[in-house]
Amino acid sequence: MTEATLRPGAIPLRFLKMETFSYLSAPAAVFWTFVYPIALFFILNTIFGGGESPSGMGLSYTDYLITGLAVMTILSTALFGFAAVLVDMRAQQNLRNLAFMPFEKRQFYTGFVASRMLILAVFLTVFFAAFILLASDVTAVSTGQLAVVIAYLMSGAFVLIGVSLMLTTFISKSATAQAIANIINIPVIFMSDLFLPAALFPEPLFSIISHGPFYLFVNEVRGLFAGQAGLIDALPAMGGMIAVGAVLVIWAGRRAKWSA
Amino acid sequence: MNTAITDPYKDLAGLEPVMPATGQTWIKVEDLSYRAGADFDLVIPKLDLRAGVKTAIVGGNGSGKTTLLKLLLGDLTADAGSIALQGDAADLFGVQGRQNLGVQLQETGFNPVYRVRDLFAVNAAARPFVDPAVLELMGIPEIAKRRFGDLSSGQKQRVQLALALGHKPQFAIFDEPTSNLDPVYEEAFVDLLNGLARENPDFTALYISHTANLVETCDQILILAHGRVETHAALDDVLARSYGTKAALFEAPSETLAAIAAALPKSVTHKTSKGRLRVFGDANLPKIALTLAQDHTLNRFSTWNTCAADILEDLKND
Repeated sequence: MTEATLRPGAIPLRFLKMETFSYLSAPAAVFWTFVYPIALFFILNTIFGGGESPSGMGLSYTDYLITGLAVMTILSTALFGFAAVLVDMRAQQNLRNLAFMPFEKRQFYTGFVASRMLILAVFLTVFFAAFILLASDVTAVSTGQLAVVIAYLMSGAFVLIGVSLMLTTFISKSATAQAIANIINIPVIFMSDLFLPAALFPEPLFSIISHGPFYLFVNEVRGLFAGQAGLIDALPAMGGMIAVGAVLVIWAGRRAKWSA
Repeated sequence: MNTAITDPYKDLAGLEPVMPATGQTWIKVEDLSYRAGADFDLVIPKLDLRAGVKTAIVGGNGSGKTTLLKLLLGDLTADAGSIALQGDAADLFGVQGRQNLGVQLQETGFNPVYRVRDLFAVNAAARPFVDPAVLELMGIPEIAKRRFGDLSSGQKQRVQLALALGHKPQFAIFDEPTSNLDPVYEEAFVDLLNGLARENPDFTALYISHTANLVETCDQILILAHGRVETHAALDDVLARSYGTKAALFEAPSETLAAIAAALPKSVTHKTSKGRLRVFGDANLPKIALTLAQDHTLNRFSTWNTCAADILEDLKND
């Protein structure tokens, strides 16, 4: 017999590793998380770069793009790299056998959520560091300031993953998950000042957009990036987002089933 | 109605399931009914499955085997009545209970990108022990580095069976466990199941199967037809009651088979289908059959001791 000492953290860590490799093995996931935002940056920055940020704050258009695309990526990862993948795995009965292993569902979901958080943390770090170092016309930010920006984005990512996990508890079909992800993603990325200036929209529409959570979130990120706010200012919002994310993940993790 | 299935089992209506004296009920079914569309319903007024027993569920396509299993596993909800786990199995689907449970299901899998070794690492992290001999027997080491999605259906089945039995559970549930296995692994699985039963008198298994070798290992057989329990009894009793101890097969043109059937003594039962005549009886049957075979021109003739394969051959739904 192979005797083993049961270690509570071992199972989430295993799933963290397996899901991270799983994600990185999927060409579509890698494209949307890593390639697409970088490609979009080069296209938009080539066409529109060189001026000031439409959001002001003393930022350049390049700063505006980097921060906006970072938010876009955490949203698309939460929807397409998390919710859609999870629904598909359930629909394909790829989680069914896990239900007969002696561990709690939360151990799987902890590893699954952690894998996406890890991927996003790596992406954001590389994304910001690369453009700050390589792109011209980027505002100089300190390492500490950049760490706060990334921490703030990660807090937002945690809420989005929580919302995505909650959505997956109501969806059983892969096609439905893809459709809902697109229904959420498309208006948000075009109408939240992520890379398309919201000020271009007619006033009545802009007043609606400017109260949206993604508009407010991305502009908080830009405020941190511009140095207009610091860690102390961001802490309450970060704490709130982490708390909301935790509640959503725990609630949805309990509600989630192993099979469709 | 297929007479081949109706005739033998009507005699079994009064046959009491043979239970070990000490075996508790682990699955209790009461007034269960479940309807799936206009053409099928599963109705089981009463059924007790005993612990410490290997029970094979057999039946033709659409007889309700998988539906019964899904109701047990909670994948389906009964329209009325109940199917419940009891005794040592009461918490079998709880986290602790799963330490004593092994399950293999059809049409399930894992994330295709997961490597086999990672699946077994998760399994090992969740259990106090795993027997490497079971993994060896299912040929896991040679596929350990491969991704689950790259495996053949038989290899996937071996992974699932090794995960189900590696910890030597007290309770095991299988849905067609040998359906994709090649003969070597089919035999290994049957040996494994018998070994577990020898090692642990409380070992309890419930399996759907169409494989004669596997059904042959069961203590009890549960025969379903058209969503109803036709028979639930010891395999030996079912064979003795409806088939006798000896069987013979004649393959020939239909006129020849008709002549042989007419010449059979009344104590012998027979079934004819598509150029084949199967004959069942007692110890005298081989001698009678051999005499008839010598008197007729046949394409094929054989005799054997009755076994689970005889039951399985008759399992067809209309």
